[in-house]
Amino acid sequence: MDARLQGLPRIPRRGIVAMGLLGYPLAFGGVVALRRSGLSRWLILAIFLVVIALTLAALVAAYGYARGRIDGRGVRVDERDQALRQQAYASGHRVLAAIVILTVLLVEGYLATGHTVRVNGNTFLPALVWVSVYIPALPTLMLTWIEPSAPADA
Amino acid sequence: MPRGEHPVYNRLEVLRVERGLSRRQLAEQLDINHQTVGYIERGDYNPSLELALRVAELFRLPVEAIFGLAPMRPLSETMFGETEKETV
Repeated sequence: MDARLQGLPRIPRRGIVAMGLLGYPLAFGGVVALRRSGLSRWLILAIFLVVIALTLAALVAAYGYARGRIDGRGVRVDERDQALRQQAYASGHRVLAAIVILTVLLVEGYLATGHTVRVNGNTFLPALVWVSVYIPALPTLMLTWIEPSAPADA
Repeated sequence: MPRGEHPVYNRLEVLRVERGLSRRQLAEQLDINHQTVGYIERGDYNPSLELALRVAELFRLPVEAIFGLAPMRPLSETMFGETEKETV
């Protein structure tokens, strides 16, 4: 399993990262949108669970790909791995900064147009889970995203 | 290779094959991961000065014969081309 993950070319790896990053907000956004559509609750729940399961699978796959090199445990890390790790942390920081700035701008824009933002358990908990899952996972996801496809063995 | 970095060209693959080494064997001798050898050969990773010097030491060649900032000419052309010029 690990060897198959390590041999994944860049494009499917990027698909995994995109799923891992977008799956969670997509699942919650989807629930809000589908509730308004009048679709059956059970169907909405099933869609939500499928998207969350795919997101979790993507996060686990990304961790399987980058582990060891991102946390420095269990594998021999050479100078290229170290350079890649630094690049992954830097990219993770840039992505996080972009998300924070975008969120602040969206909230500011929403508030500026006379709307109000209500924070309750339904909105706060998903945000809290997002922060607690994605901030530690970002460097792993970034390493999985940036590494070029491995050269064929020779 | 990260964006903004200058490409470093190399003859690593030619030298490795010439000596009958696999990427894994070369990596073991250099104490790096075998994929790193492939990334260097493909130009996707520029080795550190230390690693470049270790490669040069292993092949018993000057470092500039293996790594360079300009695209590498074939070794035969470099050696025999210059010899021909000298004889003419």
